[in-house]
Amino acid sequence: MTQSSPPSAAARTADAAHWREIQELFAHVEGLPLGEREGTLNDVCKNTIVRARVLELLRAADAMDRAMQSGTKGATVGGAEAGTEGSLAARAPPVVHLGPYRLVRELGAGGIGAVYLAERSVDGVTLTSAVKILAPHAVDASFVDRFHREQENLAALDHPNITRLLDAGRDANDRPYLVMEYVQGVHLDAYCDAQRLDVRARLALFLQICAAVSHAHRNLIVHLDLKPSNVLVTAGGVVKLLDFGTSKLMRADGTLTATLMATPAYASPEQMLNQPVSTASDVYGLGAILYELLTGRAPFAKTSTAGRTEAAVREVEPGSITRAVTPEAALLRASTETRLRQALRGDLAAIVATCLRSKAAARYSSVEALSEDIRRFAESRPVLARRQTAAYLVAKFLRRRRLPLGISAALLLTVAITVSYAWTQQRQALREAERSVRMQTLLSSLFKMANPNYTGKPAATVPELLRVGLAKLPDFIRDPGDLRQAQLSLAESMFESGDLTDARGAFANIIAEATQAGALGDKAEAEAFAAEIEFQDGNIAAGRGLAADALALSKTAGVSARVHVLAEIYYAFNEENNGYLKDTNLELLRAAVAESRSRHLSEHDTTLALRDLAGALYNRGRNVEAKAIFEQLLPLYANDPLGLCDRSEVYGWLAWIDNTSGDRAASLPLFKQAYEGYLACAGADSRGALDELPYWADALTRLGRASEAVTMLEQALPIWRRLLGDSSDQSEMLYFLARAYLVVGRYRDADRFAVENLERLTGKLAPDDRNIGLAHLVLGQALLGEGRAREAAPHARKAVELLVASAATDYGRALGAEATQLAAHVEAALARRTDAP
Amino acid sequence: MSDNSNSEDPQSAPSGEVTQLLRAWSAGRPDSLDPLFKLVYPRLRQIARALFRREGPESMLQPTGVVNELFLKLVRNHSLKFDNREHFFSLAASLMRRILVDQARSEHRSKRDGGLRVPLHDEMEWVSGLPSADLLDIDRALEDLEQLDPRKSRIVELRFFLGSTAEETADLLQMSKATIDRELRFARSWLYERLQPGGAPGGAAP
Repeated sequence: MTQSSPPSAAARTADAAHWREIQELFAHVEGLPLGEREGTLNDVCKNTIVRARVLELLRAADAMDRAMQSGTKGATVGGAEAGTEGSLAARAPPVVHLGPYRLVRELGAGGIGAVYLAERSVDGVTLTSAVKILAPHAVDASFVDRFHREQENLAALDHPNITRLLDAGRDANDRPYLVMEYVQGVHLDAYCDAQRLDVRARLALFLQICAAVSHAHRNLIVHLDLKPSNVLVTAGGVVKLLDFGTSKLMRADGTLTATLMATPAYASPEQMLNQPVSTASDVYGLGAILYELLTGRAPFAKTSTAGRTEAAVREVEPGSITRAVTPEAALLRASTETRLRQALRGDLAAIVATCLRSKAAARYSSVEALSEDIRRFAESRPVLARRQTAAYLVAKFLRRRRLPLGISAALLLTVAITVSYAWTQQRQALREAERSVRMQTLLSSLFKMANPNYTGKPAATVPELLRVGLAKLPDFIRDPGDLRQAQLSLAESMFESGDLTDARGAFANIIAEATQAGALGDKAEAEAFAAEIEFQDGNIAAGRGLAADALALSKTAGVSARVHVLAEIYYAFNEENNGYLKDTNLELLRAAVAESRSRHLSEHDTTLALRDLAGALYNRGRNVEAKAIFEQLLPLYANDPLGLCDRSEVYGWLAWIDNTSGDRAASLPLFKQAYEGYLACAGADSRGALDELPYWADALTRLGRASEAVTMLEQALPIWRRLLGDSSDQSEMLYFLARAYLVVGRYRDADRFAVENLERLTGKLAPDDRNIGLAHLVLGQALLGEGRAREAAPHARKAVELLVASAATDYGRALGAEATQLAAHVEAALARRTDAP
Repeated sequence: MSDNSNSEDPQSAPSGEVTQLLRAWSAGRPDSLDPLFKLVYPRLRQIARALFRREGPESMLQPTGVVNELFLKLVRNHSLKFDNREHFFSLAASLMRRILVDQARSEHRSKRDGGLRVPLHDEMEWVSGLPSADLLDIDRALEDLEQLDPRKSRIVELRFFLGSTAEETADLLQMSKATIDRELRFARSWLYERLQPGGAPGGAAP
C-alpha cells in the first residue's frame, strides 16, 4: 500500500486558516516573473506562514508545468518508463515484429488501436503496408475467423477511394491486428488547409468521399467512424478512405462497440446512445466531415463525451455552419468571414443540417441523395434539402399537398408482398424447386437486412433495402413482365419513402424497358409516378407532359383498371395543385372514384380519388360538397391500420373548412383531433403535426382567443426553426403568428415576423403568387398598426393586386376584402395626415 | 449472444427508484448518493471491468465507454428532465471517480506494474509526472481538498473524471471560463504539491 506523504502540519494550518487569502495571492503573483514574486508577496502580505505556503504552491505549479511539458514533448519515447506512462503518445512501436510484419513507425492512433507502417519480405521483395494493432476490447475470439468469412464481402470494397484490408491475425502474444494497404497521403483537413482550397474545391473532394461510402453501402458495408483523420488525400489529389470494413470485424456482441468505435465529435446520436446503426449513421458522419471542411471545426467541438451523450439524449442538433465560421477558417478557404458565411448560408447550411439530424429518418435517405444535392448546389440548381420541405408546403392556405406516408412497416409489407407475389407466379409457371429456394433466400436476406438485431450486419434503412431489392430482383425473377411489375412495386415504395433520386432512375429504366417491350400499362404506371416526382422537384412542365402521356396511354385496351385510375388521379391532382382548375379535372376524379369502386380496386385507391375530388371541390369554393366527401372518408380509413395519418389529414381539412366558412368553433376539436392523430402516427416533430398548429392557431385568433394562439405558436416556433432551418417553409408559421400578434395589438412583433415572411418568400414563389399577396397584407396591417401608414401603402396596393381578383373560395374572398379594407384605411390615414397642419 | 444482449435492457433496478433517488440527490440530500450508487453500480462496474481488463500498454483505453454508459444508464428509460444539469453532471463525475477508484483498489495487487494507469482527461497528464501518485492517492488528496473547498473538488471531478471541457464546466457551474481556469490552476497546483512524495521517492513496495 503506498501512501503519499502526509501534508506538513504547517501547510494544513495555513490552508485551513487562510484559504481564501492564499488563493488570491497565488493568482496575484503567479503571472509575475520569478524574480519579482517574492518581493511582491512581501509587499502585500505580512503573514510569513501564508507567504511560505503561497511560495510552496507556486513552486508546485512550476514543477507541474515542467512535468507536463516534458510529457507532451514525448519524453515517453525512450520507453524506459513506458509502463508507468499514462500518456497515449507512445511513438515507438510496442513490438518490432508482429506475425510476419516488421513495424517501422507509428502512423497514427485512434479509438480502437494504433496504426504502424510495416514491412514484410516476400521472396526477397520488401512490401510496405499499414498494420493496426487493435485494442483487445474491440475484438472477440472469432475476430480472425470473421475476417476470413467476410473476405468475399470485403473484396467488394475494391474502389479507387478506399484503402483495402489485406489481412488479419493475432501475433504470438494473442494481440489482434489488421493489415491494410499503405497510402502515402495527408489527412483531409491538413490537405485542404495547406492548399487553401475554397468551398468549391472542398466540395469536389467531398464528393469523392461520398462516392467511396456510397460504393460500400451498395455492398452493405458501413464505416461508422467517418472523420477527417480517416480520410487521406494523396499528392495527386485522390481521396483514400481508411478503416472501411473494420466495423464488420469488431465484436459481435454489440457491447459498446458501435459507441467505442466512433469518435464522439463526429459520431451519430444513435452511436452515442448505443442504438442500432445503419447507413444513415454514415450519412451523419459525412455531414460531420462536411461541417468541418466548410467551417474548420467539428459539429460538436469542445464537447466532452458526457456532453455529447447528453446532446444525443436530448436530441440537440449542432448549430448552423454559418455560425461556426471564424476569420481564420475563412482565410484558409481563400475567403473573408463575411463572404464565407454568405456562401454557406442557405443551401449548404441546409445540406449539412439535413445530414446531421438527430433522427436517422430525417437525414438524406442515402449517400447518393446527399451527393446529388451537392452536385445540384455546385450547378446552381435548387437543392433537395430545401425543396424537400418546400414541396410539401405548396399547399399553403389555399391548396394542400398530399403528405407522404413514410411508414416503414407499410413499405416492408410492400416488399414482402411484391416478392411473394412474383414467387407464386414463378412457381405456377415453372414449378422449379430451385427457383423457390432462391426466392426464399431473397426474402430472408431482405428481412435480415431490415432487422437491426441481426448480428454482423447493420440495420438497413428502408430506402437502402429497396435499392438492394431492386438490384437483386433480376437474379430471382426471369420473366421480363413479372420482373417489370416487381420493379414497379419497389420503385413506387422508393417514391413513397421519399427517396426521389433513386425512384426517378428506377422509373426511367422501367419506362425505357416497357417502351421497348410494348408494355403500355407498365409504361403508363411508371410515367404517372415519374410525373409526380417531377412535380415534387418543381419541374412543372415536365411533370404535366408525363402525366398527360400516362393518362393517354392508360386508356389503351388491355391496360389494367388500377393503372387507368391512378393515371386519372395523378393527372387531375397535379393539374389542380399547380393552379390549372379545369372542369375535366373534376370529371376525371369522379370517373376514378366510380371506376375504383366498380372494378373493386383497393380501398386505398378509392380513398385517394375521393380525397383529391374533395380537394378539387374546395378549390372551387364548393365547401358543402367537399365537406360531405371528407366526412364520408373518415370511416373508410378506420379499416386501414396504416390510415391514421391520412385520417388526420382529413380532420385537418374538415377543421379548415369549418374555420374558413362554417362553424368556426366546431373547427377547434377537429384541429385537436388532426394534431393528435399526427402525434400518434408520425410524432411531434413530423411535418403533419407541425402543419396543423398554425391553422389551429388561426382558428383561435378568429374566435377572439388570439393570446392563446400567440402562446401556441411561440411554443412551436423553435421546433419549426430547428426542423425547417432556413427554408421558406416557415411561412405559414410566420404569417399566422404575425396575424395573432396583430389582433393582440403587438404590432412591432407582427411587423418583425411579417417582414421575415416576405423576405423568405420573395424569389421562392412566382411574384404574383397569392402567398406573396398574403405576406404583403399582414405586413401592411402591422405597419398601419404602428402608425407608419406611408410605409404600409405599397404593401396594401400589392395585397389588393394579388388577392382580390384571384379569389376563388370564401376564404380567398374574405382575404381579398381585408386587402381592400387595408388599402382604404391606409388612404384615410394618409389623408388625415395631409389635412393636418 | 443472448447473455450479452442486455445493452438495450432497462437497468435491473427499477427506473422509478433511480429517478427518485436522483431527485433527492439533486434536492441537496447527499445521503441519497449511496443508495443511488448501489442501484446503478453493478452494471457500471461490470462494464468498467470489461473495459480495463486485458488492456495492454499499447492500447490505452479512454474511459469514454464508461462515461457514455453511465449517462445512458442514468437517463435512458426514465424521462430525467435535466432540471438541474449541474447536479446531474456532478453526480456523474462523482460516480466516475468512484468507479475508477474502486477499480484501482481491486487491481492494487498489480501495483508493481505502476498501478492502474488511468487515462483520464488529457489535461490529467500532470499526474503522470508524479512518480508515486496513483488514483488512490489522488482520491485521498481530493477528499482533503473537498474539506477545504468543495467547489474546487467539484471542478476537478468534472474536468478530470468526467472529461468535461473547460467550456462545459463553466457553463454547468455558471461561471466564466476564466474563473474556471483560475480555480483549476490553483486546485491542480495544490493537488500536485500535496501529492509530491515528501522527499523520499514514492513507495513502490507492495
